[in-house]
Amino acid sequence: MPLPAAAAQDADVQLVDAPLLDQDGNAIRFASEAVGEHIVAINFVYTGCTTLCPLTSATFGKVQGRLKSGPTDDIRLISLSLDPGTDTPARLKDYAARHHAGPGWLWLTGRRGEMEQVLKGLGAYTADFRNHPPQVLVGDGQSGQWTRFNSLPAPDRIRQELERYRAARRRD
Amino acid sequence: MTERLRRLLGALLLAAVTGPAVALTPLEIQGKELYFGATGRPLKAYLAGSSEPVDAAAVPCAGCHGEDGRGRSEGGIVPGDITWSSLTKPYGHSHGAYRKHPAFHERSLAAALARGIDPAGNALDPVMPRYVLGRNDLAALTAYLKRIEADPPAGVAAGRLRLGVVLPLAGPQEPAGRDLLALLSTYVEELNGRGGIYNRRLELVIAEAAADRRQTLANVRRLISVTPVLAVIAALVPAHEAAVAETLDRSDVPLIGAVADFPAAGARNGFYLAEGLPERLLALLDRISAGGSGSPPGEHRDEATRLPDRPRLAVVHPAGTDYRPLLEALDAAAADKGWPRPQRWQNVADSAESVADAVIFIGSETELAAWIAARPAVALPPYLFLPVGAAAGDALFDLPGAVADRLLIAVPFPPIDPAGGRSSELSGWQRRAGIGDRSRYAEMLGLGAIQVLTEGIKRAGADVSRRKLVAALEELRQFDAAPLPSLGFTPARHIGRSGTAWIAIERERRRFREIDGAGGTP
Repeated sequence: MPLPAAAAQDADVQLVDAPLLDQDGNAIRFASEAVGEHIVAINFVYTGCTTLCPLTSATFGKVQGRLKSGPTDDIRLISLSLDPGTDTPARLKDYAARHHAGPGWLWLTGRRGEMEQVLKGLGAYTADFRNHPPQVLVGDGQSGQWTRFNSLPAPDRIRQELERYRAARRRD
Repeated sequence: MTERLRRLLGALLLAAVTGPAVALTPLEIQGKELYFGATGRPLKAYLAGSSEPVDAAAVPCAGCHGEDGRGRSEGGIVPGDITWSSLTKPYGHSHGAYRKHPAFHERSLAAALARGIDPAGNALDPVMPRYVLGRNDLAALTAYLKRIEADPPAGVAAGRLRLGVVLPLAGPQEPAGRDLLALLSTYVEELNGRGGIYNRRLELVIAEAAADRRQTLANVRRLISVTPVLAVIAALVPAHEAAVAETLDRSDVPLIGAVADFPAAGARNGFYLAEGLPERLLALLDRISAGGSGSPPGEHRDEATRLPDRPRLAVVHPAGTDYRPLLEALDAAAADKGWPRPQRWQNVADSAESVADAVIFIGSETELAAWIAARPAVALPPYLFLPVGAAAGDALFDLPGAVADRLLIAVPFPPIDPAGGRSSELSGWQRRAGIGDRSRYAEMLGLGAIQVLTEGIKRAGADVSRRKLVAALEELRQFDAAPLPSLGFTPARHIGRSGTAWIAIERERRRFREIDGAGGTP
């Protein structure tokens, strides 16, 4: 039986340029530095989550694995913490290591208010982070075009979308 | 050893050798390892719509279905109850209006795991991965699902809760270790006398913190699996504390480490009553540079002996790489203040040839006494600083007067004033445990640690598990762990209290004097 395909739709997002922290504790601004000019895939996690987040993280792990074979300087993966009160950079780093996250994959946290702004801008804020719906965003920091998956897309599907944005750049 | 302690130890050893009522079979144990993603073998799982496998251990059954198999909803998904009695309910299941199926049996369970379909042939929720299991693993997992309801969480049984204690029982720390053991045993015995916690008796299982690292870790590993405990108290681990903490954290065993030189910042399951050595060292430098308050430890000093504005510091430190980052942080902090780079004295000979205004001694008070005794007869620098975690034993009163008067001690908690109210709290326990006052500071910390742990267990509820205990401790705020000042934790901060207390020695009266007010903030 075929699995339901992850529904993708064009997304209207606001990239907030809030100061955040990466998994090494380095300061990084979300819109101008983390996304910057890259083609990115963004998911939403918290380290205390044992259900959905390991699945989304494993999915990104697969995406990362495939990207390694091609040039990746233009592509980035970003995992944003839904629970910045708990997720210190050290905790995110530990969590990232469990999912074998490599260089082009940022794990971001920050002050609660600023994380909230970033998440709201992306349409991914929920008052109760434990009940966040699964969501993945893929987009291009140059063109400002974004795609939203309101489900857990398969790794291949995320890769296709990243490649589609890359191809669109070549056409322009 | 007192008769009372001998009796307690006998009871403890007995507790250590009796296992759970009915042990899991080897097949069930194999199934349990699969269930929790802890086989250590590479096993494959496939996520929805993906043709590439992921490591099954990253998405274990327990992640969604819980350590008890009952499932709990999160993020809009509702993992099912997969205890065998639920799976095999004769009337089957209906999942909302769209999916109904008859009861599972062993073959249909295999189909669900391998192909993602229920007994009626419907697709399972797409977030359920598909697992590639061999015949033997499948049999093991099935056996465990049949057993899971009768397999209580580690360290928990119908009538008892088992707690681990890591303690030195030989070497220079032996007296403190023995005193602490007597104290903790008495605490637990009295708690049990009042009905325990939720009608479960508490049992202590001892793991000796030996001088040898490998031996210590072997002892600690027994607490993880051989005689599994709910949580571990390590109130006094003189050496190998980082390795002990890491070993427990990796196995998700909660640790109440009273005081550590280097509390593990990223630990998910480790809790500490106070900050580590780096914070105390930096507080010391700030105190020195604040001028007036950087002055005299002893009471016989006057303004003439104030430290210069750019003091030449020396640090006496233990060998080994553990302390290198600390020394580098010290260099950086001194540079920030425009001070000369602190000299590093690793042995006594260094200290004879060099000149310093103040010496920071990193080590215990017994090591300080030994260093002083071995030192050539040259003048001591005017100031000695001792930023310790758990020290301030009576050995400090026996230091030569010239040393004691120069000494300022930085500790995470203020010492107990023998005349104050908090003192009676400790002395009551000392009397009932049949122990003296020689390890006062360690006893204070041990008493704080066991109170934090038992409070966490109470708050975690009757169906406590290691994971629920960690969650309960992360919600503990403003907790009064007398004789310690109040402390608390948050999910992001597993350090109970910040700040430093400064104490000087009054040799004649054989007591400590706290300098400028209470230390620490919760």
